[in-house]
Amino acid sequence: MDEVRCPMCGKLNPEELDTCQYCQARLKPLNISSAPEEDAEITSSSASFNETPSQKKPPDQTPALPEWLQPDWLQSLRQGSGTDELGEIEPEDQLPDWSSQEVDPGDQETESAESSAPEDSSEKPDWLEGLRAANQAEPETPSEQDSESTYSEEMPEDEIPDWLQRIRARQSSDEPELPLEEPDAESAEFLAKLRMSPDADETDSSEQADAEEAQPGPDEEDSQVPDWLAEYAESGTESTPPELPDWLKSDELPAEPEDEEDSLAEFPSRMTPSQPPFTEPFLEEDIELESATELPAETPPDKPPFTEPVDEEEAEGEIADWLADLEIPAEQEEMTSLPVEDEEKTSFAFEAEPAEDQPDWLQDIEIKDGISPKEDEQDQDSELEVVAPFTLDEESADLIQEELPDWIKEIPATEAQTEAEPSEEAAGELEPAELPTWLESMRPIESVAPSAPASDELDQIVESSGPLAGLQGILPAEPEIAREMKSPVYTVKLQVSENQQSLASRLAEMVKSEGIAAPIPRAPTISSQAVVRITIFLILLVSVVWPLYTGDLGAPAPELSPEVLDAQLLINALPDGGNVLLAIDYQPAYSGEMNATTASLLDHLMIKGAYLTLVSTSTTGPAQAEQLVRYVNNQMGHQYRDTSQYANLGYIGGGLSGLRSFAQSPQQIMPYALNASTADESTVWIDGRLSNIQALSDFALTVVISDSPETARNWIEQVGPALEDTPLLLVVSAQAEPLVRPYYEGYPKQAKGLVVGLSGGVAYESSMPRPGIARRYWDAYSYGIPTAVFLILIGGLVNIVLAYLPTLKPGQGRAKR
Amino acid sequence: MKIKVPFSAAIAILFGLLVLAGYFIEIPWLSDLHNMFLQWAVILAAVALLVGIANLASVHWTKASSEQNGSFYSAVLIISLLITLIVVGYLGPTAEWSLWIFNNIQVPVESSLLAILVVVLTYAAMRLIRRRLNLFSIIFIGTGLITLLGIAPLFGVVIPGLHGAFGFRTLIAQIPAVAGARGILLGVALGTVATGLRILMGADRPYRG
Repeated sequence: MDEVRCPMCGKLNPEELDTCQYCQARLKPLNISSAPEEDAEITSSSASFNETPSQKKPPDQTPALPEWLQPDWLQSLRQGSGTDELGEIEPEDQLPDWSSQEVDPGDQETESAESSAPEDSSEKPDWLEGLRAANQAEPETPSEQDSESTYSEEMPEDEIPDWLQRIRARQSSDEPELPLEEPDAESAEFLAKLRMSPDADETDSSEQADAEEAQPGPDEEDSQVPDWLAEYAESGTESTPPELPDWLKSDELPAEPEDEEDSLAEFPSRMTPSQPPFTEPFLEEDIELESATELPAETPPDKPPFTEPVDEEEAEGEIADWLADLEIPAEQEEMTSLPVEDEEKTSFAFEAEPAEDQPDWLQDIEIKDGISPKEDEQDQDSELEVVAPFTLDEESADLIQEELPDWIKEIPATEAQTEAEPSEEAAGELEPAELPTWLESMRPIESVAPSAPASDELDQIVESSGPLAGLQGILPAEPEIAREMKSPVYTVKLQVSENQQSLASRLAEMVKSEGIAAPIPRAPTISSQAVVRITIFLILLVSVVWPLYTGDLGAPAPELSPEVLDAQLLINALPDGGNVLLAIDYQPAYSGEMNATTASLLDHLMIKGAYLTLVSTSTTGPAQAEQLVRYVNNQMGHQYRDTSQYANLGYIGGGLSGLRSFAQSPQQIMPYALNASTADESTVWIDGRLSNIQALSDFALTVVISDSPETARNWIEQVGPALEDTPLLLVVSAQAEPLVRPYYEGYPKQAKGLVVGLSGGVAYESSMPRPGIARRYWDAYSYGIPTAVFLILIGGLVNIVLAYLPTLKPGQGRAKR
Repeated sequence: MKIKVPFSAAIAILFGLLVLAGYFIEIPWLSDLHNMFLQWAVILAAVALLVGIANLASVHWTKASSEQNGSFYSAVLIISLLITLIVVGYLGPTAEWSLWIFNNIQVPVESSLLAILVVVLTYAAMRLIRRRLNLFSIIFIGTGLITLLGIAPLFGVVIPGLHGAFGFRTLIAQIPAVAGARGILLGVALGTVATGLRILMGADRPYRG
């Protein structure tokens, strides 16, 4: 079963269907009874409509109709015949190929009129037949002029309509095509002429078209032949119009116009004579045609101008003015908007009327080949942006208000106004938000920048099939989703200013260096602190060494304090050769102070001939005790060398427990003397001077020499109860005086005497007949201590000034002065 | 492991009570027991001292052998320990060489450290006024300076009221200082008694292993 391809959607449908089952477009055009000449005109004009503006016409070929004017059946006719518009026409018994062939706009180039087809002039309109005959008479004319001449040769000059003559003249002068006039109400009636009988006089119609073209603008309303049809008429292709299909020969078609000019006047001026005019393919329903004929001038422009019926009365008269004035003036030749390599290849290579005389619809219709009048130059940009050529927005309507034909002016502007009003109302209610600069910079450019309007793409699309073939800015029949579209690529780029970049980089460095230890700055070799300390040392050194070097500076000795006096009395009360327990519990660091303090007391004990029993709870005590005895021996000239004068029992271990144990049983805890030269001498508790000592209470005196108050307290607390009546004498450092003095000043006194520091030693020494080392230390001590005090005072004041000096204001400082 | 804790606490309490009772109860076997326990404590203290010395030697030996930072000083310490141990252990603490080590090494070293302390304290006192200048710091610095000035004549000059047995310095040293010291001593005594009672009652277990 044969299938027919729908001219609108391109889908295959069964042959017996009249309308497409997908888009409801008519598959079979309406039958129009027309003269052969008219058929020829129709075919020639339709063939010209199928042309694309960019297609180059061979020199010997007539200009073709634009694609948007070329019906599919016309194209198929051409393809089937293999000729141009007025080429060979298929015989009547052959159905047109448009139903089974794809309409290829590329193949719709108008060819020369040499191709001929068997024509059946008996059933075709006369005007069409005439056009085809004219095309066939001259084979492959190199120019339109030749085609026109061929056409004219066939037809007597008297019968050539004026509009056709003007077209031919224009073509001969190679003038650019005039923009098409706007279709008016009367011009729409040409379609009705398409259905007229083919016996219409083609010459009359061409004359009418010429007459219309020659007439000025106000008479454009009376023009009946569109420019495209005028072109078709003037081209005069020799090719015989193809055989009309049955639907064109049908009786359903309206009556043919009486005059051929009327039929020709119905066609737009863009149609070349070589191309058969289009008729039924542009009309979906017969009813529409009939109704179109009855439509007044206020018909809505939903159909192309050439589809509107033409008034029969006007068609019978002269050619419409707009058609008569199709000659393109010389001025408009320069106003071609698009570059045209060859004007002959344009589909509108006819003599157009001057812009002033052209119908409005013709001037406003965008010509694909680039020819446009001066007046349309300003509107060209707007037209390019407009989506549909026949739908005018409010803006373009205002611009070309004066040039619009009546049928366009009568278009209700309600739609445009209603669209504008809501936008205006919306704009009044809402105000554009003012974004802060930091937020504005974060907006991606691509999302903010306006993209190309869809209308631009739609405006550039030229319809290639269907009744709107060749028109620009038409909504595609195919759904948008079916079209291959490249998906837009959106990139989000963050706008970052230089300041923000610097701040971000700084923050990144801070975060990056978070786990990295900061390098410690290398300290200078000699810092300010080191200089100050060295200075302090030197000053103190001088203050201490200088008195020692110079000798006695006469610093007054301290007074004899009560505690020192009691100590002296205790030692004076000792019996000669008495046993004295001497506890040496100071550190070697305090040897200077303690030796100076203890030397006089020890010398006093040695003068008394006391037997010294040396013990210590410090690990360095035995050595310290030995060193003290030898020092005093050397300084005071004593001979305490062996166990007959003193016994160094050594270190008492165990801390408090050991001291307690020693207090309870000293012989068991400390059985041996370290200073014994022989083993026998070491047993002082048996054979020595300690044989009569059973307990600590047997000692005549207990002297505790300590630098720490804790040690002195331990001896007092642990050994003191075991001493019973044995007096306890404390020789302590100056730092231990506060904690030790309560034991002396308490009641009962746990310490019977107290010698504190160098001052106590100097005081004790001052009562002795022989001077000791304490007096020498006393001069250095009296100079060194005040020096340190003054260093502290002066340094503190300097630091205070340095600390608070920056905070002082210059003004305040000057005012204080 | 849980049984060890009550057992060690029981031993500690028992021995503590026996020693404490030996102080207050005059029983011959109790006194002997008391004395024996004290002797055991002395021995344990001496052994603890030896253990400390051994630990110190091992730590410094490891540091010296691993060539860490400061390993040289650890090596010097170990060598000094060995030399002193050998000399004093063999010759005795009162021998000439022992006393020579003590008089020519230990005494000068420790005395020098104490002498450096004088310079450091003087410098610290100078900066204390700048760093923390408030009432207490001023009282502290003033008390120290008065004490120092009153302990010895100022460049050989005795200032009446400042020096002497009844001088300002003596007044500060014997009244407010002794009062504070008495409070400290009382606090120490009370703390010592409380700690002993806690150990005897088992509330405080410093011997927990």
